Amino acid sequence: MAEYVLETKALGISFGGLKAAQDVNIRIKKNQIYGLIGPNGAGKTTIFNLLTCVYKPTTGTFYLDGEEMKGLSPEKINQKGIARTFQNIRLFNNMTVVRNVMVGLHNLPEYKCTVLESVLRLPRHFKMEKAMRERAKELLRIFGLEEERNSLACNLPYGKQRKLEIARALATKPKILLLDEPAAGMNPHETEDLANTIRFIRDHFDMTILLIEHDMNFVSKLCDELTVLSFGTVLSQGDTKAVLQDPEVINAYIGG
Amino acid sequence: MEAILSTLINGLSLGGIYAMIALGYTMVYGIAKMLNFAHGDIIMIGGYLIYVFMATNNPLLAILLACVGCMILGVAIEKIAYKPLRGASPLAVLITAIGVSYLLQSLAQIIFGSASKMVMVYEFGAVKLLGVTIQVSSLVTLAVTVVVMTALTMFVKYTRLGRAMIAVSEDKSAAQLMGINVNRIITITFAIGSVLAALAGLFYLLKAPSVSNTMGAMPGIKAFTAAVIGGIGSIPGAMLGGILLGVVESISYKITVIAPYTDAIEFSILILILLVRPTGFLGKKRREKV
Amino acid sequence: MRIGKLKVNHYINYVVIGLFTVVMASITLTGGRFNNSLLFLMEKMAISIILAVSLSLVVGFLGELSLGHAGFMCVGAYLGGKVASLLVPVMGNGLLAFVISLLAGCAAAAVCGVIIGIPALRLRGDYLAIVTLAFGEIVKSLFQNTSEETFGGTLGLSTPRYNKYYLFIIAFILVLITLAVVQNFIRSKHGRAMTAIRDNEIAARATGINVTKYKLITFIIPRLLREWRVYCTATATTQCKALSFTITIPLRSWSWWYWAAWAASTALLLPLH
Repeated sequence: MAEYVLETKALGISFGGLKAAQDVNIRIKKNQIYGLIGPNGAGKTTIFNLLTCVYKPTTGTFYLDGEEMKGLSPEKINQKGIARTFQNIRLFNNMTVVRNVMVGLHNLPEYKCTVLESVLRLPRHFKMEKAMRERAKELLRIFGLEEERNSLACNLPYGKQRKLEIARALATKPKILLLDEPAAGMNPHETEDLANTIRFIRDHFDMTILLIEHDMNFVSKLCDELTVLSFGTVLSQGDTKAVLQDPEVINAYIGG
Repeated sequence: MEAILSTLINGLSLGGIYAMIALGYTMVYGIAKMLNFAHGDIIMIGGYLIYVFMATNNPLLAILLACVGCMILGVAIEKIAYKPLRGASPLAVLITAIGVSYLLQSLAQIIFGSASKMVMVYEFGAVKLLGVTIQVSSLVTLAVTVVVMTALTMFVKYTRLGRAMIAVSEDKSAAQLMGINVNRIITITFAIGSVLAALAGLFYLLKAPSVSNTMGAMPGIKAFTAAVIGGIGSIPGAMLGGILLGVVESISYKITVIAPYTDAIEFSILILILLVRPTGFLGKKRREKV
Repeated sequence: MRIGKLKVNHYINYVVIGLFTVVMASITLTGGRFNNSLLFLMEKMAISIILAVSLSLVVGFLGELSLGHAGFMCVGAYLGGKVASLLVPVMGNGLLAFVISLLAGCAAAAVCGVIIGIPALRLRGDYLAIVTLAFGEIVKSLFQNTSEETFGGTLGLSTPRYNKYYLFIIAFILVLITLAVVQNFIRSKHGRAMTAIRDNEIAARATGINVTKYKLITFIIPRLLREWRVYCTATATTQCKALSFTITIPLRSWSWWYWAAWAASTALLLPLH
């Protein structure tokens, strides 16, 4: 086990002349809740996209558990252990809640079942289906979604949709969970609830979490360490309290 | 030398025809977001209309009436067959378009019979240019297509209506919210496309004076590929694709060894181009924001 | 609706078609003979069902428009027919020759599917449609220009005709197999993966689904299955004409299948979920 679950080295990407992210160095230890903050357009989601291989970096690289992640496709990086949620919730809207989670279980070795086995309806298929359904129900129970498991994902209220997206991401058994603005559009009560959920995830699933957020209250209470991005570069890094008191950060982002 | 020049002129005029048909496809795709597979058959209808109106013994009148006829037909098809499906899945629209295509071909067959008819629009004859014998019809085709394409480009760029069309092709709902009558724009698009198809029919008749009910199918498919090569939804792309295809076809025909494989060659080029530039030469690269 | 542990919906197709096949087959096998128009009708039914089911896989589940069936079917039919015309003089016009040439045709279509599929699936929907269409035209052009001996040129290839009184039985057995393959595929985690891809490809990728693999599968399986349909037509009509595939295919084929697919797949997709 490497020292850091996730480590980026001089990670950066340019779109033509626009340097969306430059020389970003982040180090996340196991079981940390790490915050990535900054004004809109600073490049936070871009970093996420780099870490999930939606974009290919033009400079630098990153390591998952000490292993360099180079030239992988988004599905491969997920299989390696990085799962994410999206700024604009991306659920499989026309599938039921339980099926959404079952898709997350698809590639896990314990549920392996080839096309041929399914088509020929060999006993393995039935065994795997049953196991996957059980596991999915279990995950839904943890997030309080078991009641609605047969409803269509698009019919859930917003807060529950967010939880479902997180549940699906966790189903893939990642080493690190990336949450993109999980508290967006939530009232203070829901935000509190979410913070508790995230802490629970860290403890129950032995998870490391990297999240993007704008709500400073949320971030200061939840995150152990922060990186502040501004215009694609790192403005400040380190312990949450210290960073939030950094005058440069206050100037650029939080406001006087 | 002689061969090269005549092949080139031939290619350019053929390319002009393809370009005009491709324009119809690409405009409808860009603005109404659908692939109108019946477009090729409007060419055929145009041809038949010319045949019918030649009874007046006035070629220009026949052409004019044919254009008007096709325009009415195009608009009618849009109102009856495509408009009700505006929000439907692309598959439903595709099936309808194929249905319309079928309908037109069958109607033509019922009315005119399945044998092809001779239509001599105008005997242009040949002319000697730089020591090469060239069909005047090719030159006329070339000239007219250039004029049409220039006019269309200027129309789209400089007139209010043209800009409205571009707006609708970019974002239909936003255009509507800005007060643009989207229905009218779509109707006009189909009208223009149909007139272009009618003209294409005319030029085919100048080349080979016969109409049959399947004469529109192959040119339709080829022009569609031309539109895709150039980038579907892009007007200059359609022109580029059309001319490219016409020249390639003309050259291929001239080389007797590979002449029978002309169709195969054209479509292979399409595949090759798409492999290198997946959205065609001038097509828009649509990036989905993650 | 459930009977015990089984969902009736899932199995009703098999029951209905199976019953039909058994009844008709037993009549034939005990000496009864149907007239030509009935045979033709049954063959057409079987063919339509196979086509509709396999099409529903491509179009319904992957949401892509594929216009290029012509090309692959053409290749399969010609190759299968050629193999048949080579085997029959040697093996006699029996079941074994039929099955071998059927498999040959399928293999040919599947191989073409892979060759075209891998580059073509990188393209967006409309462009994929046009590439498959172009492929179809290329294939037609190539086959039409061959000599008399190889593939019959413009007149088409003459293929041996399987015993027409038994052909429809085989056709219906193939229908049952097709149904089983497609339904089992869809009602499994693989079917879920495909629905996920159709719903939100980016999310599917982020959840680890191997998108390319599934796109390729949906590209190939229907082509394979359709080969059966094609093969039955070829043997039923004695001649595998390039013409019957080309002029009719670009023009007729789309409408014919989509009509069949539309009607049938709507009916099928409901229980298929």
